[in-house]
Amino acid sequence: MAKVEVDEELKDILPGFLNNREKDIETLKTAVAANDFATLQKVGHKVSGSSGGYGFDELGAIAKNIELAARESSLEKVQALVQEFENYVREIEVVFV
Amino acid sequence: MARKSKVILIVDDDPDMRAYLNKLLISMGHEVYEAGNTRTALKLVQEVVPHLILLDINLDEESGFNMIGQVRKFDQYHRIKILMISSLSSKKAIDLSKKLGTDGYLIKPINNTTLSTTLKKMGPELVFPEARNIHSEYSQLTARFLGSLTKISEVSVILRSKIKFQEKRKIFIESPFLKKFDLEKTQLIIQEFSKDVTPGTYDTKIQLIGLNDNNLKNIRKLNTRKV
Amino acid sequence: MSQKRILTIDDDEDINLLVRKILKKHDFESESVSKIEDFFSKVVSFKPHLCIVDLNLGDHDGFGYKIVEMMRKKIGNEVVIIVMSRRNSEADIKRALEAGANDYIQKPIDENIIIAKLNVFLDKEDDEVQFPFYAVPTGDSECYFKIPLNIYSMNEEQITIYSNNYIAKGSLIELHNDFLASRKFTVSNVSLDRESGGYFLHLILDPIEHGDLLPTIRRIMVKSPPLAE
Repeated sequence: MAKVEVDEELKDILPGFLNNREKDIETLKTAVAANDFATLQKVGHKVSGSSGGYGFDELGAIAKNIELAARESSLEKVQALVQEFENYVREIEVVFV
Repeated sequence: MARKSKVILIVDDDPDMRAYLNKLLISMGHEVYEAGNTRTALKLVQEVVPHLILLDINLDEESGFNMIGQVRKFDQYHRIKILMISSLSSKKAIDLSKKLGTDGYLIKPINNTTLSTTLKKMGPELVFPEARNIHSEYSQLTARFLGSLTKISEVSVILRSKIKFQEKRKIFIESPFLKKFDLEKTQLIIQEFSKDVTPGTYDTKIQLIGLNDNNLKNIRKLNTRKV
Repeated sequence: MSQKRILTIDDDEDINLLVRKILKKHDFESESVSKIEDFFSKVVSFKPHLCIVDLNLGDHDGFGYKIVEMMRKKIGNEVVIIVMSRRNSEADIKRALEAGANDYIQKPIDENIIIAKLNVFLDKEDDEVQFPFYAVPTGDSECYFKIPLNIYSMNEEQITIYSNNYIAKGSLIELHNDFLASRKFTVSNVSLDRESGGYFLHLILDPIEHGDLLPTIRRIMVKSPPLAE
């Protein structure tokens, strides 16, 4: 179970963040099924930008990789990374500091 | 001394990014507004007139560049500062920022320290210069003051107030006394420069213009309380 | 000291005589005419400081107003014009003032009133003719008065107003225009404008009371051009 330390200040906006990431999982999966590399790039780019602020550096890295893999139109890579993304989001435990 | 709290508009189509920046800025004590698209952003710019706009340069399906142009149309003297938010490298960001005419940039991921340092550095830039050349539409006004009418004669009335008049100008007075005596429509012109009563209080003699004999009769009736 | 010149026009010669007598008594130089045709040539030759004009001249009802209007058009605002009339109609008075007359007196002419007014308009000191003042009942004495003013400068902390007249620090001032709509301020400081002899009134913006004005103030600041270098 991956533990992530998040600034206590962000306590009230964190649920919204995680909720959006759940939505992103669906979007990514749909995009993979449709070979929609444009959407994969977009979501990857977006999440890599916002995760860092909330303290989710690892998630940000996964998202960045999704973006890069999508740019290369590398479907296999993307599929694996989307799975990593899903696992991460579903398994993280947030600790407020 | 300018207030430390600034009015800041966040323009980013990612709600998480907006929520995050909002949180940071509010905890720094600023007044924060958010927009998820250019249309809402421009509406807010005109409504709240922020000191600073944080603009995501990769707005979904919209061009941040366009937004900058529209802001400058509203703010032709470049008082509102714009920081572009981007994921590019520092060097690329500097070039883009210069090209677009923004006042700086922030690179994602943005942390509290970077944000507060950047804002601190911009401090003096985020103060609008004092307006001196104000259009008459906004600069002309009517000022209303409390006073008292202390004495009246057949040709003038004395106004006691906190204004020391040194010009013989027309003046408008709302007074239940003048109303009672049917003098509310009477034109009033300052007759003499004000005289000091006590520091901060002055008596001003004011001409009564255009009285008819009814008005004069009514004034004479006050004779019982001659001063 | 040169005497002030007064020109009277009334179709009633008795009135003209009476006025001339009163004026002479109080050290004014005066002339009078009874016909409209003679009036303007007299204005040119006599060059009066002040004219007394009867509103109801002869058959021409209301020709007095025309004279006032023509005086303003041809001669300007330098000459003081006082109109007189037998009627006490408010509408007449209003019309005369709108035509450009400075004041109105009602007939029969009261010597004290006409002299008092002449003294005021011609800046003449005359201790003899002083009207007694009566006290205004205290219950009715409170009043509000209005004067036009201009905003000299503004920023997010204060609005600075320019005034020709000194307004004491601590005065409560209510400002009216489209964006200030009856807002109240206190004059926190007054400074002298050496250049023009007027005053700057500094009104501090209270964040709670005036907070809602700030966006409009910022808008005006944004729209105001910088001062030319």
